[in-house]
Amino acid sequence: MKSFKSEKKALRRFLALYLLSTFVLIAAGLGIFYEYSLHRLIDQQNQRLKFKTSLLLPKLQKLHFSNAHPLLYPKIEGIRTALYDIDRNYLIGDFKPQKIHWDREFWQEGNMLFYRTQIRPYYLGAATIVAAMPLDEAPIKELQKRVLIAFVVAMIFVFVVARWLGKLFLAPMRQTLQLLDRFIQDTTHELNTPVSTILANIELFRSLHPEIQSEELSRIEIASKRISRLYDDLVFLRLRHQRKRHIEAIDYSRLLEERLDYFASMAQSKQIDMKSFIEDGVIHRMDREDAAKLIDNLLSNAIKYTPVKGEIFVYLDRKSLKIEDKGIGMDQQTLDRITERFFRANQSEGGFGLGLSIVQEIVDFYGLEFEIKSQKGEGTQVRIVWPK
Amino acid sequence: MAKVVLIVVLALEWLGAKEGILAQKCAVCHQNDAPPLGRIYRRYLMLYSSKERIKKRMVDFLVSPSLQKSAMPLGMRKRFDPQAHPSFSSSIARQAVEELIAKEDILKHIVVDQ
Repeated sequence: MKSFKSEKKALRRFLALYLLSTFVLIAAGLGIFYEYSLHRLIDQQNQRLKFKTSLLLPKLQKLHFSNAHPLLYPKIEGIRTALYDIDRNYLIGDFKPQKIHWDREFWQEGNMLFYRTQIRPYYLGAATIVAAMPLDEAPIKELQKRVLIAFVVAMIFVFVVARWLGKLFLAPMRQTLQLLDRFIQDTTHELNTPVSTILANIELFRSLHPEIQSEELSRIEIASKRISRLYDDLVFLRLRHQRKRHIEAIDYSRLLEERLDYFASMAQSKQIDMKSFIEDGVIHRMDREDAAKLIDNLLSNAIKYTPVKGEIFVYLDRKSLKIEDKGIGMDQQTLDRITERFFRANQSEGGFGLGLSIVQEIVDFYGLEFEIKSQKGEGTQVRIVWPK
Repeated sequence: MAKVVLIVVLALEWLGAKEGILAQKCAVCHQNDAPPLGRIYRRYLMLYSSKERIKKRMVDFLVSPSLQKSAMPLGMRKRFDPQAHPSFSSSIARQAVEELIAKEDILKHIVVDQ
């Protein structure tokens, strides 16, 4: 089933929000679990160290009362020990700790675990035993691996659920968009024949009766052209992925003049003074339909939003195409959304809000620059800059 | 003859000085009737841990021996009356104890196999 751009955007937003919040939640949960498990693992190792240290005591006792020569300091496998007297002076041991936390029973320095215990009686004068053993990192690495796997599995699961949920929630929106799409499809199909017939007959009538200059006929022609352009825009949007563009060198100067002629009747109906400054021989490689649509949409907007007896200036040179009107203009908020599909800056004017959306698509396709400057109540300046 | 006697007396005194207070004042009894000095030291070591504390306790006892100041087990205190122990001046007692600690320090005899 075809996915709409807005649907994809909404789905992406939903996924991003859902995944981000779930990511934070899962990461926090797994983080707490990891910390708890890590403490448990280290605690187990501390208890092992404590147990091994307790094995030293009977050996110290035996040594204390021994008269053998020489006396061997008792070794406990896997740990190292050091003895301190009651005044915390180092006595003897198979290692000498760099630092002792006299206020703590267990502590960790790097990858070494330390344990401190007090004994009594003071065999060999020892009041404190400090023991150390290397931290067994294998279970910690195993824990890290498990947490990571759990995280990845959870995120994959969440992603799958999020996609499913997203599609479920977006189903009504998809249906609406499909309905709209079908409506546009049907409308365009139904509009095509009558509009073409009207325009063809007006042309035929004018060629058969050139002496008749009917104002009513001009109005019918203008209205028909407007419907025709709407039809063109809708068809362009519907078929934009299926249509094969035929890129060729186009005399843009001539094309612009043709399109100005086409819009002349529309401008005249509002007594708009349309002044053009066109440099000859401006050639661009484009699809002819795209090139015409670019001009048509910009001119149509300029005429639509210029008041009666207003002015429009059209400039074309090798650098850019610029259309400037002295119309109603737009505020910044409107400008930010102006290229959105179906967005209409002014509800009082006709149209479907497709014009600048189509312009943006064409501009993006050919890698052109698109600038709109507007001041509310003063007019709008639209500029298409050709690539160098 | 008088010269010979004088030389012998001086020689004995020199030898005595060389042996130290411990040999002169303590060894005679503690090698025979009284508990051995080594056992006494280990007893104090087991109870007081540091050399400074042992020294203080032993000197206290030697300056004015009493039942309360003795650190020996009850059975030994009954067998060898601490109050019958001769008393010494504090300087002699301190010197004797230092000699005892130096002589009987068990840690010196322990070998640590790294």
